Amino acid sequence: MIAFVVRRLFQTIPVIFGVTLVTFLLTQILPGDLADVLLGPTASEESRQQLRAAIGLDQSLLVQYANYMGHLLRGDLGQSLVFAQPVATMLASRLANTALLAVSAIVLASTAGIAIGTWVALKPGSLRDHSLSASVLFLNSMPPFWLGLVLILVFGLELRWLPTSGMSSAIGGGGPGDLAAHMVLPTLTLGAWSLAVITRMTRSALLDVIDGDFIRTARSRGLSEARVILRHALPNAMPPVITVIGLQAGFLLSGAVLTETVFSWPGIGLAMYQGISARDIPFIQGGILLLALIFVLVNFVVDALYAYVNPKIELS
Amino acid sequence: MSSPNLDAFSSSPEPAVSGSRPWIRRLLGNAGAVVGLALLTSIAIAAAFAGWLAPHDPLLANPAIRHLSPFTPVHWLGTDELGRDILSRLLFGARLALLVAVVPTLLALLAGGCIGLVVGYMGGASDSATMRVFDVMFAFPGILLALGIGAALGPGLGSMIIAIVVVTIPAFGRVVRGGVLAAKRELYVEAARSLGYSHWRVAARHILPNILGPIVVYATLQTGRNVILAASLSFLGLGPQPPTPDWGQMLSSGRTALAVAPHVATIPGLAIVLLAIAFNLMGDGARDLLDPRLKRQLP
Amino acid sequence: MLGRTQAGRRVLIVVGLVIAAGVGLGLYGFGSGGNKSASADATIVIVAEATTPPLDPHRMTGTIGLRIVDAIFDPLVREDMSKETTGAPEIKPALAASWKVSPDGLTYSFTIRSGATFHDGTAADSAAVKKNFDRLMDRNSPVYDERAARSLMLITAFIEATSTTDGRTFVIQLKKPFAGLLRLLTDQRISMISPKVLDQYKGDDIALHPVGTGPYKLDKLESGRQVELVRNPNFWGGRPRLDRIIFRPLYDPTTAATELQTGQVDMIASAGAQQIEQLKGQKGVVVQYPEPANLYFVRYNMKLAPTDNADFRRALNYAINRDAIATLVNGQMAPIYGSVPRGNEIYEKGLAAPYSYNPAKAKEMIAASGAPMPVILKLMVPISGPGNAMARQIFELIQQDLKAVGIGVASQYLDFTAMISAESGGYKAVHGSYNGWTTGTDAEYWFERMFSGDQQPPRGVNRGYYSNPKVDDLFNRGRGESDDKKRHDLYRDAAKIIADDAPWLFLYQDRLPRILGPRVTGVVAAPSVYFDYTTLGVR
Repeated sequence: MIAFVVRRLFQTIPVIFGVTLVTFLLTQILPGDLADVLLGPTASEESRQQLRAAIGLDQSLLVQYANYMGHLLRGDLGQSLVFAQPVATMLASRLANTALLAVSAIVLASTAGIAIGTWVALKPGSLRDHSLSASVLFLNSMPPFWLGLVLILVFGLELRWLPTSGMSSAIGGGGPGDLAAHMVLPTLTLGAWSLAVITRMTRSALLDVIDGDFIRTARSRGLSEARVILRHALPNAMPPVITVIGLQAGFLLSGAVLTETVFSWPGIGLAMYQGISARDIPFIQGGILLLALIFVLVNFVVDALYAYVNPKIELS
Repeated sequence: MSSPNLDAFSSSPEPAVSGSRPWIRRLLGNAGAVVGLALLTSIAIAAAFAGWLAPHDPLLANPAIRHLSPFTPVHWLGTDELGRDILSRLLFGARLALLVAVVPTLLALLAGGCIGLVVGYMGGASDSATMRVFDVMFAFPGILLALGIGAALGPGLGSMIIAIVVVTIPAFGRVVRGGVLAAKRELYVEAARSLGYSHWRVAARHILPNILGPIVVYATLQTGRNVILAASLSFLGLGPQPPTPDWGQMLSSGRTALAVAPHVATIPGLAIVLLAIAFNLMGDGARDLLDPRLKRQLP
Repeated sequence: MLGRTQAGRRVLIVVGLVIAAGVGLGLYGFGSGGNKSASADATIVIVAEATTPPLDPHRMTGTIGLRIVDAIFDPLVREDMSKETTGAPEIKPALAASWKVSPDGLTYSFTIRSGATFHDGTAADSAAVKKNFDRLMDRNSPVYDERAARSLMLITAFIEATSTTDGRTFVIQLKKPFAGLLRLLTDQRISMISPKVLDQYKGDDIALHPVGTGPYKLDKLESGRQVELVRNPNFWGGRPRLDRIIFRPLYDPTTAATELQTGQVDMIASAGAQQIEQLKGQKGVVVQYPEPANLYFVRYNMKLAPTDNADFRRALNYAINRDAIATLVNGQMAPIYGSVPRGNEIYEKGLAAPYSYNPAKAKEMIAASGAPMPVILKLMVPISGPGNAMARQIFELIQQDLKAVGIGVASQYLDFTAMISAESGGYKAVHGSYNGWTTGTDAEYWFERMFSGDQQPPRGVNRGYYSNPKVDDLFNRGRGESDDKKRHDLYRDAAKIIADDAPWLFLYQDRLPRILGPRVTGVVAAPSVYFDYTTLGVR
């Protein structure tokens, strides 16, 4: 298992390099010149040239990439144009908000998904099984932002039960209750798709092991059905479920852009959207890089976890 | 929204299981496919004959009658923020919705499929190099990479299609490559090789037909995901530009009036859901029929 | 079988409990958030319609940030927001208690108010003011800032030098007489920052330390979260009425209106038509129409056929149904048929407004103009930015009207910043762009920037290359004219020629309404997007 993790780690390093190369190249294909964007409309040609020289835009691509990597290794992601702060500071201050949303969404999706999946696996082919299939299909076919708008419409505008914007109330906000209230709708929106996937996977994984020999043995020993399911079937059904939960990271990071935009959640996703629409190139670059690195890291951890749960795994 | 681990063939985390389903559920699965096909056919017909079916000009704005509610006599689904007929816009929008779902699938399948077929068959350095490139692309959450590409190329139908294709190529590449690797191990490929057939002939005549099933399944499901990806990009302002009737864009511009006229945003959303459901039902059905091994694997 | 259902029930109970706990916690929190004890500590919440930008006035653009700056900082002089006026608001003292202009119109001496201090305790004297101008104008000064200087170049360009004659007197020396200087100095961007901050911090960091002399001072500033200001107890103009002002970022207009409805926020300072519709009939909610001078238009490229053809441009001004645009936004916009918006100092009803809606006439004139048909105009349209909430929809109406007279439009929808960047060097391969400008009340400043042949890119913002020697001559005569009436008449003549030349497709003036919640007091509908923070209070 250790060997697997080490080998997996060595696979990860070139990917990280590739990611930095892609984010670097992204600025190369953006329309316009970085100098134009940095200086704004009223700049003279002279100051434009000065800036081009100063930030190395007149150098070869390779030198520019080397410069970029040099700054990166020192933790310098450049200066955001829109927010006029170091990109690294900006991302750091918002990372916690995005993480809070993503983690609560995955916790909700995993716990509810495994529970519901188990519940329906107990009675395959029943009405509850069919209604689950229908709900899963519906949730997987729904654009997350549309779900968000419908939730805002129902719980925010019509029923007025829940707040629909930001992380806290304007006045007297900031308490845990206030935060929780603001989290409900974005968490549901972001978690819905994953919830459907995890439910479906739990159900089919359980059905696959439930007819296995060891389950039959357990039953024949006269153990209660609940005990059979919870103690014997569920743990054996977990590996594919864990894989699927790990796979949600990419979806959650993408989905965060849409969810944060709909709910004005002050995380990286919202800032990315604003940065992209305002052509804040250093911020776009830094944001994409960070999210991609998080994703690579999560995948690595999931694989390691998987190897731990299922020691027979081989590296493909 | 692309999931990175699609080598369902080579490293499937659980053994393939089938046969445990009663025939009645299997039939029901196909019934789903039938429903999906019917849904898709009606949407396709609506798109094809939008010119005849649409009761009004989808572009004709009349601010005096904006925000009419659904079930209004002349405007069955009401009017939008410019007083345009929503039903007519939906019908014409169906064309675009099908286009941005199907065309990127075909292009990504073509590009990713060729890459996967070649490197999967050849193996070796080119294979692992390509896989590392795909790994890198998988390291970017889909919408972000697409948004970045969109920002680079400027908003529009073309750049949206390019963004979706680029984001989805690696998945197709992996599915095809996985299939090739699995097929290569089969006896009939070795037999063909030992008969002295050329690599191209073996790849095209023997491997390709045998991996077609999983590809069709995956492509259909991906088309459903494309519907949502395209709508998301459109919602964020990257899609076709007004006044083109586009579902994602109808939804995002209707959002400003969510409190005053909620139907303007919710109706196009429902259309998106229906189209995605159609492709997903068909994908599930195709999976049951063509590739039982995959039944419980792909979300 | 019994076992199975029991297990199922157990799981169900757990799930139910989790959901119930979540919702319960949520409801509790929302309730406690809504129960504000605001009347006890007088607080007002103002909606920020977009991300609040860095709070460095000299580098700032956009109303959202300037509204915050307006509460923290003082410029030398201000526009008087205490009364509704038809013309420009009067100019009143701010950090400068008084001022004198030399007879030749070249020297302005400002007497800085005694007793004013910055929030950090630094004295607000003439040296402090000088340091702010050094930041903008003196390349050799250690506090000089290139970006700030560029951002305010259009104002400082008139200034030859600045000096202090004593601790309270600050002097501005002009290059040539310019009667509009005082009006320019009311711009919130030319507010005075604490000299201590300018000495201590550089570049972007200054924005993190917004220290001014204004009625409120910064309390909390967190990226993406709300900005909170508290009362400045040492304010030179008496005790401000509020304990706290909160600027709450709410990007979605529907959410903003809903929060106003539920009393979570108290003011939407730039309201959209849908918000007003949503809040219609809501008890105690007041909608104000300050109608500051502004103009929305399509600026044409004079260097590209067929928009280089004045007859063609004139014809298009008859093609647009501006009333339909007004209907679209519930009358929030007033049609404009010429070059002078209401609120500008030379405005008179019907002045320099020769056009009307007459598509038949437009068609005839297009045919007569000799422009080769069919034609497709390539136009850029911003989809974001201040005052552009409905730009996309409005432009769709314009497109429809142009189509009706046989003109095709290939529109290019861009982010506001991206569009400004694309057109800033002057139009290249496009026929023009859809734009809106808050014109200010000063005629010289407005007309010269927009229409002077001298202000073509790269020097100025006359991005369509309009140039008419007769107009330039009137500008030259008007600039030095110190008699207001004579100067205004010269600009009126210029405005008429400009309207006739039709370098723009004149569209409408946004009434720029604001919505006040039931608790807000002390806000007057003076013709400005700003309001008086010293009178802002709570019921």
